[in-house]
Amino acid sequence: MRGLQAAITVVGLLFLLGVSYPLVTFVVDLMNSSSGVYLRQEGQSILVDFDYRGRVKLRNVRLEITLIGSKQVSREAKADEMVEGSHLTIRLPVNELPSHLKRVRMKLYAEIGGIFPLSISREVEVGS
Amino acid sequence: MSWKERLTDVLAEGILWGVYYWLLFAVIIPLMVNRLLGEIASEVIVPETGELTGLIFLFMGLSLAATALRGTIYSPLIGALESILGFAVVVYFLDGGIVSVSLDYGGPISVTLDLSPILMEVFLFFTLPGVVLPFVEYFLKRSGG
Repeated sequence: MRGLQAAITVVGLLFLLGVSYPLVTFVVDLMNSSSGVYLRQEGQSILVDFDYRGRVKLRNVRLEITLIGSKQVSREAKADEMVEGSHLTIRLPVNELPSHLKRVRMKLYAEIGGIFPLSISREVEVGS
Repeated sequence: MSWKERLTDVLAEGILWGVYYWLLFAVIIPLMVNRLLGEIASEVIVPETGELTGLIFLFMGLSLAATALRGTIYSPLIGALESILGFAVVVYFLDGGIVSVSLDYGGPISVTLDLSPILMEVFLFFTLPGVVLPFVEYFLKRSGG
């Protein structure tokens, strides 16, 4: 019986390595690659673009941006799945942006390999 | 078997199983997760020497008691307790399964990662067999003897 328990332990450790593989690959890619959220102007709109550069598939991806100034404007974009080179874009028409912009809040939610829920957020004080 | 041989057996087996549980739950699993996650986990999963020393004595004590009481219902009960405590240790070191850190990635960002799939895996492969198998062994021996 103790032998059986030891065998299950070994299988469990191997399984732990297997389950952790997408997580490890994601972390390594995050630290080394140029994945990022970029802002650029296109015509009369500001584009918030999440450019994903990683080997692991992301599932149920949601990108949110909140602009706080004279009023609060929130927009979000969703994708069921993202692979290397995928983009997720939020289009913000310039005439809908708040004046006297004080704060920009961004939040990215995804499931790494469809297994590990991940949330990344950043808040920037405009002018700081 | 003389009482000296019995004592040696109990001590040797108890210490070995105590070391096994301690190594698995307090060292190997937290260390694996820590190494695998790199910078994301570096601020969260750091078992201290004092904690590790306390845990090794706790697991050794339980294993010694389980070995000394072998043949009685207390042995599988203590064995199950050992596994449940081991799972509690892993949950403690993994901060309840939710890792939240602040990283510098072109500016400060907050990262929150849910590691509960790892906890489920640990429960399924390490805790559950540790709880069930001692009872199976106990009842098989009773029905056989």
